[in-house]
Amino acid sequence: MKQRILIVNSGGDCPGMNAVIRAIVKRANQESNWEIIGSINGFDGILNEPLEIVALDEKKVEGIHFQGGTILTTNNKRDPFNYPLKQADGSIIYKDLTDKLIYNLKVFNFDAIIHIGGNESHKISLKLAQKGVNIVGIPKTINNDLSVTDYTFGFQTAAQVATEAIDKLVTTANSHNRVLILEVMGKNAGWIALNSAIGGGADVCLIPEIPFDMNSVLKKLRSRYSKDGRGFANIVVAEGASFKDENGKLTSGNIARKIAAKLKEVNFKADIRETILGHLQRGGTPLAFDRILATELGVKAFELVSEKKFGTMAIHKNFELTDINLEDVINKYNKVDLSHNLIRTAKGVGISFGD
Amino acid sequence: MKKKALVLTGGGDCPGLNAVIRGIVKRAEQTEDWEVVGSIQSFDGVLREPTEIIELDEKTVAGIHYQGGTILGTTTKGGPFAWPVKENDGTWSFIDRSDEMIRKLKHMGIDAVISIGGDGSQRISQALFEKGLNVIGVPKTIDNDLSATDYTFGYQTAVQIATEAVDRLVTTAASHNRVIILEVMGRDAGWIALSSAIAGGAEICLIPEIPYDVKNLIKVINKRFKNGKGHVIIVVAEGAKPIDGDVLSQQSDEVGNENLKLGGIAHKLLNDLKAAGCDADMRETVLGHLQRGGVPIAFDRILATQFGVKAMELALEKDFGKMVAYQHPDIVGVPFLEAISQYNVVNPDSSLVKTARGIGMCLGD
Repeated sequence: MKQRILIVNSGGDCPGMNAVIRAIVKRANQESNWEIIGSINGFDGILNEPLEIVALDEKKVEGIHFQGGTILTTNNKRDPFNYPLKQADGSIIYKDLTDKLIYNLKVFNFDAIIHIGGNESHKISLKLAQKGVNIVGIPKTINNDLSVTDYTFGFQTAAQVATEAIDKLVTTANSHNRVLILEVMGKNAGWIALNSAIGGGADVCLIPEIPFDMNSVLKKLRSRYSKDGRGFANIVVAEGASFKDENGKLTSGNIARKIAAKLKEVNFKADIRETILGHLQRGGTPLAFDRILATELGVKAFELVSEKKFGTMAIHKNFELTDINLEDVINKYNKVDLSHNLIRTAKGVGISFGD
Repeated sequence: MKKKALVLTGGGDCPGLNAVIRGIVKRAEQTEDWEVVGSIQSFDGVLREPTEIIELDEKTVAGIHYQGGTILGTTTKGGPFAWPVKENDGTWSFIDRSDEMIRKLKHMGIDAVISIGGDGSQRISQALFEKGLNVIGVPKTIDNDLSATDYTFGYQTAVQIATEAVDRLVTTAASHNRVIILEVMGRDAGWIALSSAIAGGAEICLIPEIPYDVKNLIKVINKRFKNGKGHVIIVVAEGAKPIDGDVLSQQSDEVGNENLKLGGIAHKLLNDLKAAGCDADMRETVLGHLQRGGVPIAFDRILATQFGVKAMELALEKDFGKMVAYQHPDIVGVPFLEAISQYNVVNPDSSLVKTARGIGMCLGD
């Protein structure tokens, strides 16, 4: 009988997930004794009755590598250790369904799970590994906020989308002498904001790692509107950025709007508009960079399974694919280090962080 | 009086050159005492009479980071050590004008030279540095074939363009049941070909590092075609060669250009496949200079900006004789000699090659 691998993806989607799925399937097809099955909507597929699983063969995955999203659909609210169950009265209770999960894996002859997900997903991977599930992880975070791997797929595409947004905002800001504020993803890590600010050429970049001072932002804006300045300004702000108010309290959330309001409050003379990029950063065709990285990780994850190296994650380190134990992945967040060369570069071209 | 940095671009252009120039100028503007000028067409702007030097300030470089090419122009020929001179009989000879140029630069009040170019340019920089000139190098190769730096700018843009070409060729090949051959850049290194083949999903990829056997390609094509139905995409680097042959090249007829002109492999491959009995409908596309033109992707703009800022900082620190390089996640300066000592070709044991084989791609061997 063929050996069976179940692919589960969880967490928010990002461009490249389909390229991972395709690579796993294509790699498995180089051997004669493997079958790849996908679980629909995270762990739902393997927990639902009847099961919602789909056999993945070469035909199913043909051409999907340049589609964004995931053909399996995904969900970030389906922790099998704390699984939401809707009751007859509409209320929701949470239950640990991992025993059922393990039972289903056994009954339906699954030999291993490849779990594609972010930081939170791999906490689940680790706990499942500790309960004896044969599991291999693949990192997925659009925010590039995982330190054990040099790059995560999806991130470059998001940085590209955000950069192209700045390209567009620069020409309209210039034409109307406006201050345009672009809010991009990044709750805890400012990588997308930092990269797109440099790539697109913004004047101010505000990231969660550097709580900003409104006066410092104002100073930069005033210099842009001075006699020698260019008479317009572009601000990129990560959704998780925060500033200190008059009482020294940190303010965050709806940050682009709050900055615009604050600038109006102090009577900053220019016309101010905001753009919130939102899920455009997760959609669409992945860049070549992300497709390649995703394909590499898919191939590597299959090989980890075939070598029975379970409880690990496939990663990209120093141009080589390798693996790391899941224990060593958890809580290794990759925030923007203030000594990082990108900060130095940004300051070097005159970008203000509002610090 | 302000100190002066002279910037120039040499060798073939690639997307991101302008972002480097902008990075240098914007970094200099953060100081009180430096200004930046640019030499037109590499060192030619200095060597010509009258000189062709332009001032570079924030206004000049505003918004240029998303333009491809180089606002300074470039050349792949000549240089201070081999300046072409036309003799009376119509032939060309080459003279060494390096000492004269160094004197000229001193006279112009140049305190630092930042030369953006390929390995040829870096060699010239090293020779000038040995003669006492304050030079800093910025690497530029669309082929990603320099081992001192993890990536060079322009390369990811080229990969993206080649990948989008594969995307397009896949749908038309599938509709017409064709074999389509895409020829991409890569004289000695197959990075663009291999990367775009993986990202775009080609069935066959031929690179200079792995000589190919036409018989193996026929096998793949026959397997993919059933009753005349099927399609195959072949990505081939211009420097790829068969196991029993050599690369296709011709001597350039441009004065002072020592590089061989490559190209034509797609056409040759098509004929070779035909001769070997492949009866599928076949077409070829040569991507050519589309790979060097247009807007750089964010990755390359960011890398180029980092290089520009770092190069200016090396000048501020008087840390001359070095080329900036990306050694993830840092930008560092490496001595020229070290920087140009090793080519970065595709290692057949690398994870990229393993990935290609892992998804069933044929590399011709």
